Amino acid sequence: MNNRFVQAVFAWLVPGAGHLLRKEFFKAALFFAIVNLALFAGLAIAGFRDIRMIDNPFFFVGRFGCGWVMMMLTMLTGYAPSPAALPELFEIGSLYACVAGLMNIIAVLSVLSPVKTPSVETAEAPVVQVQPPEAVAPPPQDGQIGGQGA
Amino acid sequence: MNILPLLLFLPLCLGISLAITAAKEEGASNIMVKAFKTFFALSMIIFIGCVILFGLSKYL
Repeated sequence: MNNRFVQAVFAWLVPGAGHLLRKEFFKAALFFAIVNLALFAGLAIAGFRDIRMIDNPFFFVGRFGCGWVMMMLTMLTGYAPSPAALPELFEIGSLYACVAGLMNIIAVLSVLSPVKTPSVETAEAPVVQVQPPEAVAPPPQDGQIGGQGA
Repeated sequence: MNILPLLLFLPLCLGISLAITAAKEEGASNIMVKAFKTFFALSMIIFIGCVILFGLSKYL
């Protein structure tokens, strides 16, 4: 499970699962919530009617980033005959589903990137003891250097 | 004018901002603060641009 590519496959199948395997729990919860909220909100806005290839090919392809949920929906409804009329907000709903897929692709790419190590700037710098400056020497008195008044 | 479709884009944009920030930043508070800052900054830019265009359209 430490293989990044295996984690990426899980991240594609279930949003947030890749970060969960990397033990990045906040990111896992965030991606799971964002992607699934956008996906199901889009389906609700679109009247729970799945988008098909002939409706909009770009949205049809984009929502495949959501993994198994959209694959199941496509198998169930993607090739069904078209209803007479589309819902009023069908375009925006399908845009939600497409963007959910694209956000999950961002999560997959984030999982594929190597784990960040502390950079040079953020690493703890060695403590350097700063010596207090030496007392300032008193200014030379008149006549000691160079003579005055000739 | 039906404003509902326009309002539906706001949560989507916030989600995109959160996803992009979470992909490149570390730490929960850091992610949330930066994502909301980006979202509100871009929203204000669009809002101010719309106000300017609306004002210009009244006089041109």
